[in-house]
Amino acid sequence: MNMLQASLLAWLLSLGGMVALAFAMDRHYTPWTGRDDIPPALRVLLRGVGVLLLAGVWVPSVWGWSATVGTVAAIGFWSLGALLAAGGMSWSPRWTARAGAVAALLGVSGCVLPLLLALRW
Amino acid sequence: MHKQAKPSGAGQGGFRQAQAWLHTWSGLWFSWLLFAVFLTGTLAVFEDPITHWMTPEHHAEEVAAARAVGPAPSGPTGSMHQRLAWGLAYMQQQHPGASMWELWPADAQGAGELRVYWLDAQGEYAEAQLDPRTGEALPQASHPPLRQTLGGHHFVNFHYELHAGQIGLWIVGIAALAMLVALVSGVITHRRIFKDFFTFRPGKGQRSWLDAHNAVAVLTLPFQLMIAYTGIALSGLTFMPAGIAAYFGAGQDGTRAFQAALNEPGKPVRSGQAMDVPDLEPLVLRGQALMGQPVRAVVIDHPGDAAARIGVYGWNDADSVRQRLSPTSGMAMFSAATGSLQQVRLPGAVDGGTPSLVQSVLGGLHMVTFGGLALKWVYFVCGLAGSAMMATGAILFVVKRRAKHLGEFGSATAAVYRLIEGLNVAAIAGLSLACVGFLWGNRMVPLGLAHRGDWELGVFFGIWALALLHAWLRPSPAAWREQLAALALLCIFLPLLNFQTTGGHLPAYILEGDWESAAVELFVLAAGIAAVCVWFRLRRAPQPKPRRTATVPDDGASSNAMPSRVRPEGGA
Repeated sequence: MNMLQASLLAWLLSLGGMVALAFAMDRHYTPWTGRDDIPPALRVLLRGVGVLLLAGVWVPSVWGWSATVGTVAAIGFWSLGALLAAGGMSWSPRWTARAGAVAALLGVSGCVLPLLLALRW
Repeated sequence: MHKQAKPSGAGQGGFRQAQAWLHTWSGLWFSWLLFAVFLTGTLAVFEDPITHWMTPEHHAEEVAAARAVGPAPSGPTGSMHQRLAWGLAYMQQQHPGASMWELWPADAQGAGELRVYWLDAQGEYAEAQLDPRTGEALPQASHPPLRQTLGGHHFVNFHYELHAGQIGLWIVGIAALAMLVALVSGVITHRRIFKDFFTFRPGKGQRSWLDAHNAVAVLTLPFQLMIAYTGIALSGLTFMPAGIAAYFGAGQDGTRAFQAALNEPGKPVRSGQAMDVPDLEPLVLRGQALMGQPVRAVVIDHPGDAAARIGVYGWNDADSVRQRLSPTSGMAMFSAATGSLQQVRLPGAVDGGTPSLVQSVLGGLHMVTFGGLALKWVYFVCGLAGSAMMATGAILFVVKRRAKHLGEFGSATAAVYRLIEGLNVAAIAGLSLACVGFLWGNRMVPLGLAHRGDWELGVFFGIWALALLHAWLRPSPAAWREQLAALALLCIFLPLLNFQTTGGHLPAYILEGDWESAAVELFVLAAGIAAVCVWFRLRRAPQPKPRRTATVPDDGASSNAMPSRVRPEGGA
């Protein structure tokens, strides 16, 4: 995996993860949906997905660089994803939710598809 | 009833209030310097592209040379065997008495330039370039470069020693320590660190400034802690000299002895017996096999003496630089007399044990020597966030006190507030102005002027000093507006100035694939547009109400002349 692909995937996963974590909070859930409190099950789901996505940032980072440099890169990409999530939510919670979902989907498929292809061959 | 604690005084209130006091004051007094250090340090990440933009004659020469020679060299260049022999022959004829010879025979592919270096009679490093096709010495460039400039290195030097040598290093070191104090006390003070994690509420005056300050700091906290800590650790031996003083003696001599012990362990003493330097190729081949890298340099200590020692150093390839935190290359050291191996270092390893390795990795972490362009951009964005943290913190201090006079300085409070407001303008807008002014200086200072690089530096400091004067002479909302307008103009017209003076322009850079120059201009343009946006907001914002000493209920309305969004970072 080259550096550009790795950076892109790490950044997408980080954005998706941070957005999921943000919307698991009442303060950000309300502007998104208009409802007051987040259902507990949804909160747990969003938190779980968020943590998994953020842990997943490590995968393309280690692929693209190495275990040591990749760890530094992953921490950096967490920050970039979080800054973008916070900025996006102050601008439009609805669009940030959509962008987060798309980013998560693209990020995960970008990591999983090469694995599936490698297993098939 | 709970008595409200006074907001000032370290000893008053509980632990959290004491930390808040510490955060406010350690943050405030260092924020201006730290903003300057952070912004220039962030620009220093792209030292090379900035230098490239600042030396247009040099890259015009590069392009011309590449066109003239074409992709294939005009004749076969020498083999490694020939290159080593040519280098050795040149040194034996021209510099037989030098205490050190250093041959750079070829690039990692065994092609490219052939360079030789030596220590001259004054102990200074000297160099010559040989023709890789014939081994003849190439004529030295007798004139200094026309556009003599510090280039991007100005930002590197300024951000760690303020162009003031050891004194500057100490000042920046103390500021970095204050930053660590402010970071830790800031985290303790921030009661809703998790609740406010992703929160930024624009258009709400003071609250927006606090949100912005919290968000940029908390979301990039690992980077901010790391960069301040590694920055101090890089110069740790200067800040904590007791270890070296105890073992190697105090002062310059002690430092020199320590450096010699660290960098040249087992360096032989000249024996006085003459002995020719042996054929280098067998040693180079052995060295390459031992360290697993192609040869970059062959260093001969005491050439011509029986005690001579020959070091073979390797080229790091792009992949290993990307993947290793420690940036060192491989090395193999041989005795010239017997050819026996004295020492070997694998790529990434460091002589001097674990502490040296830790030092090397901390240095690498600070200067992002690894990971390639992607990591440089990550550092760049986090660095801008750090600069925004200082700027929003300093502005927040003022905004908070606009509505509500806190009387920390007794009867002098109003004057001190005025001083702080002026310093804010000069440090934030003024430094950004000076940074882009430095680039203007590069194109405006006449070519060929003696000490031209110093004149460029003079432009940088001159603009900054003028900005400081202006910030104190004008009322602060007007000072903000005027300096931002100046920043916007300088940024937006820089590409035009460049076209006027060198003929280079953005579309041409992009067509030629010169992304370094293109990126410098694009970033300057983006900074200019950001400055215009902030300027518009400032113009629309209501004038600040006159400050009252009595407590004014915080109605949350925007009662300040600052924009409510995070002020985007200006500067080049």
